[in-house]
Amino acid sequence: MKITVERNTLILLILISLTLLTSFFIHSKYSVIAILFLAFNKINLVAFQFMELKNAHRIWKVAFLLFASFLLILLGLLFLI
Amino acid sequence: MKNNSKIKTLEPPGGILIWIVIFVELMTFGIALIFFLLNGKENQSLYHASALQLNKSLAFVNTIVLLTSGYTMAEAIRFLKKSMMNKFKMYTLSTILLGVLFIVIKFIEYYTKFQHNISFNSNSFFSYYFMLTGFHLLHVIFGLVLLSYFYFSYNKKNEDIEATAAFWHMCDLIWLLIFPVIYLIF
Repeated sequence: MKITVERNTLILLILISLTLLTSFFIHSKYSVIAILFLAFNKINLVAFQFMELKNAHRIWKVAFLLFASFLLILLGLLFLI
Repeated sequence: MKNNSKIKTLEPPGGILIWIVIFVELMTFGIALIFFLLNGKENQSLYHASALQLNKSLAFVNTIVLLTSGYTMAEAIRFLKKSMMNKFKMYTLSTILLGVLFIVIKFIEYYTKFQHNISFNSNSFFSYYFMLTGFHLLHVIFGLVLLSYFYFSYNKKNEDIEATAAFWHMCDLIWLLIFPVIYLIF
């Protein structure tokens, strides 16, 4: 019997796994990097897969990636420096 | 005709207008989180002690609820595009119910805070906490109103529903920013 998993279901499973993984990184100064990195990946998965940004024009993809990267790097740096 | 098709390819899913709203909203919440962190750097012990009073388990559950609602919303749109209206309605209803569950959990979280005499005025950490999560909650409630309208009305214009779906996913994105910064990193 062939079991097929829909793409959206797979994305949800990855998102939940990343959320559960986050719980292992609480309470250490440098874990902030891991927590924000996981958040960055989750944000991009939601935007590109669930919101179908992957089908949008390159301008929107680049704009979103740059924006999300800038914001999360800035938040990380503000906490660490 | 050529120009029209060129414009169409530039249009993101849900339309340009909703994506401008998404960028502005993310920027607004982002700036608020930057101020939250700057304030936290100056009062690190206070922010650490306050963060310990937050219920992280409920926040984790709410994250999973909201992510699952994003999944059901994406599935609803997938079936809408295939004109499978029964499945579209089923997934939209699931999204609405998950949204309601998110609100119920959030109110439980607020209620326990008020029981411990923690309010907006307790300290700057909780001012930011109530302001950011409260504004996010308002967005979720507004998203639920829009989803309920499309669930019950006969207006099934794909573009409008896709824009509403993008708005709902935006609530997901905002929460994915708020959750680590407020609940986890201090």
